[in-house]
Amino acid sequence: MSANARSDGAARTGRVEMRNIVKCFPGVRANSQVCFDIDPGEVHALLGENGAGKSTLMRQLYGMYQPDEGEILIDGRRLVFRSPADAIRAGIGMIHQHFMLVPTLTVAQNVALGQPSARAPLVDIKGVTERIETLAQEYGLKVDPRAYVWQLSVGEQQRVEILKALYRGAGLIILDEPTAVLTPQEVKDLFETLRRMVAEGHSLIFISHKLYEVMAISDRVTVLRDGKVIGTKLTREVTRDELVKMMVGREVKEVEARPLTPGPVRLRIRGLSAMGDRGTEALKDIDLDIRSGEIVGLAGVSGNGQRELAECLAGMRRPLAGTISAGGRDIGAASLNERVDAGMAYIPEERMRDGAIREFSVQENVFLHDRTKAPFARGIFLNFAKMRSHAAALVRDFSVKTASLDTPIKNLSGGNIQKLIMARELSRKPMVLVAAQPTRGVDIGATDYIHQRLLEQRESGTAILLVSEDLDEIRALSDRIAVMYEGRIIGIVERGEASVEQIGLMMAGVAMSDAMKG
Amino acid sequence: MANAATLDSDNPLLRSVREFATKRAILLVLIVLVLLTGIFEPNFLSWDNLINVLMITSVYVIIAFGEGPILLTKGVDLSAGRVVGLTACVAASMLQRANYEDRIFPNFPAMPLLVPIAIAIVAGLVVGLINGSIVAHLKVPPFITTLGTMVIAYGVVSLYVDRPPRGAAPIGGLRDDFTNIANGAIPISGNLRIPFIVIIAAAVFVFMWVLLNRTRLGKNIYAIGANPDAAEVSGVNVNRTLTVVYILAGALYGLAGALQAARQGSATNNLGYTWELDAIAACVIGGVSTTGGIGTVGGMLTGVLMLTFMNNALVFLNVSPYWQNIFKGIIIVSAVAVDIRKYIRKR
Repeated sequence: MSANARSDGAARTGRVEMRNIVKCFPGVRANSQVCFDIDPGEVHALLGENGAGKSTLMRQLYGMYQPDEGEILIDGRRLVFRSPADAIRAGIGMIHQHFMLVPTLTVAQNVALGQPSARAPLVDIKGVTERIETLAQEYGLKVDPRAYVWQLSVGEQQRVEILKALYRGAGLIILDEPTAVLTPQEVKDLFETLRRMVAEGHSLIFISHKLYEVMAISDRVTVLRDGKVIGTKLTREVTRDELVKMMVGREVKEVEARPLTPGPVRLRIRGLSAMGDRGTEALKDIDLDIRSGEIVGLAGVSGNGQRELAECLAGMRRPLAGTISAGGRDIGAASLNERVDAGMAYIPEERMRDGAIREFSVQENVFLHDRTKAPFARGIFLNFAKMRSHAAALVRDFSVKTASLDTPIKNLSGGNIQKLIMARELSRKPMVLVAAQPTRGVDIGATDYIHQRLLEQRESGTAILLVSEDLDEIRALSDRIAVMYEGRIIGIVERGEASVEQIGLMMAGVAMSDAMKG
Repeated sequence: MANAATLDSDNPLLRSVREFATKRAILLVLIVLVLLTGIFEPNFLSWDNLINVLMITSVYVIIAFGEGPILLTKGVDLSAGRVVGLTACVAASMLQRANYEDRIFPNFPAMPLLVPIAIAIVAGLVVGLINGSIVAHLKVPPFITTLGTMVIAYGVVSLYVDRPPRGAAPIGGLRDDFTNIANGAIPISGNLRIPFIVIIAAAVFVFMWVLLNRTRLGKNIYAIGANPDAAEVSGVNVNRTLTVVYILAGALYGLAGALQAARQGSATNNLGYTWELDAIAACVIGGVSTTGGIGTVGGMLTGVLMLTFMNNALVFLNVSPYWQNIFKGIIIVSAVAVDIRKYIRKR
């Protein structure tokens, strides 16, 4: 009820201040003496690399963690949040990077979850539904309150998250990397909604590492690095390059692909179809060739078949129909080992699930596949000395930061895990490389490094399929860009042939011929 | 494979039949089982037998309604059976006839019927409170927590029952007004009658249905099982919800314990041994997912009916009790194998 009463007018949360926040985890000082504040009606961007402490800081503001030291004040009054429920009561909402929705409940049930009900102890679904519809109208957030969350697209799920925060009467909303999963058009719509929210008096904390978005939406920006505040600036008084330097601590130049003449076709896909996890056809009649020395970027909104295509190539999903051949060898029904022998390498999207074993050491993770092969094995015996020197060489060559070869891989940062997986896959000198979201959740330094390595691999003649939801990454690296929509390749464009907007239109399902007119 | 898929999608009737068959597979198997047995042994379908099966079901289903919501939160309660045994003995010990020679408390005063039953329920509730607090606040996995309390409950009930010089003899000679709760019935016509115990179980069913489908607590239970992080950040008090789920379960075991003592007219410290496994089996057979968040009250009931009807049918068909165990095991595994097809990730 209180939520209803509050957010009918402009929901406002006073000036929020975080003072000298210190938060330590075993072995890491995630936040040290961080000061951060936000005025009513302001958009304050929080910028920093992965592991800089942005999420940790915000989780303390949302009551998910308690600070070791320091205090949180709203309008000068000191508050202690023991749980998100306390933060919600203080008018704070959070849109999480990985959505916090219950897939088996409906939109309305998710929105009402944990909230007082007008008909307690029963759930007032009718009232909640009406309220959602009003809010959706007001803020331009189209979503069906009766739909189950598992039926929704990622963009729709994000709208549910925003509705959830608004329904709870949040005056201050924290958005953790909200654009990471959206198409350029959806980003536009999101920004439109955010502007309406600001006009209504909401304050927003916008977490991102995409600089142009920060420049476009924020009034102020605070940069975090290694758990410390590097600086807080008015957005209009700072340049993009200054922000990068504050974030990374050094200048970063953008990678550039040298023009190359691609060689013979290495990977040939014909008429490939496959089922998705929900038992519906997720891939429909895919034709694609990738040549030696060529990077083909696979763009698309998450859930349009990119993951399934990568899994079919990696041998983790069985095709219904069609053929895949690598270097002229049919691998459509081949086992994972046979694929590796055929020269395929795979950098999986879920690196901790499909690419590594958390509890295993760095060295053991290097040898997940190759341990049965010469020179590392002879008969049933393993040659540990050879394995160790090989692992050490990879760690050195790919500058993987790890305490030792025996450190469990779960103790490494995302960027270093990814470098190690990449080192392992590339050390086989693959003919075809499938890289799925290779830089997701990876810091700028490591991203830069991974991009360089992919380009080196291209120059050495590997055929590369780069699956990514980061359109900038795809545009920077790819020779050709294939756009997927509802399980089909809706169009393939050459480097520089299409603008971000044109690719965005294709990602939204507009036919290539129409998209390229605009 | 591709062929089969096109055939199905071409024929909407076939498709909806297939959908129904996967969704309600257990119910269909149950109906077929009952009808087939009825054909071979017409007495199986007599009112007397059907009512008897329902009476057996009534106690088990109340236990399953305690266990089910715990499974929904991704937990498990191994103490259920022993708590039923404990509470059965508690209720029985206070409801022995005054003139019975082997009374556990020789000078125990006669109490109004509802008082000992309430005490049994509270005893179960206390164990539930202990389970829930340990799981929610000390973060001990439910499997371990309830393994511990299961053993402790057995120790407690044995100490309670085994009083020298009497020894651990069954607590018998229960008052007629008590046993009448379980064995009495409202006559309708001829052999048709509605036993009180079935009415009690039906009331618990309605209560649980409303709780899980219409209340905030119910939705919180599903949310915690399906995505505990989402529940937490939505403002659900996860610890309190978990504790309440275990408390509710304990109270239901207490009720089931009292009813079971009334039904058999006596109680021993061994009553309820391994019943938690039957309750878990019934829930999974009825489609409750052990990975949390999925399952219905109707499913739990179907699962219990499936087990009790199967046991009863095999008795009617003169099948050896050893075979009953083998069939039970097969049904548990195959029911889940069929049920999981609804959610399986196709690769």
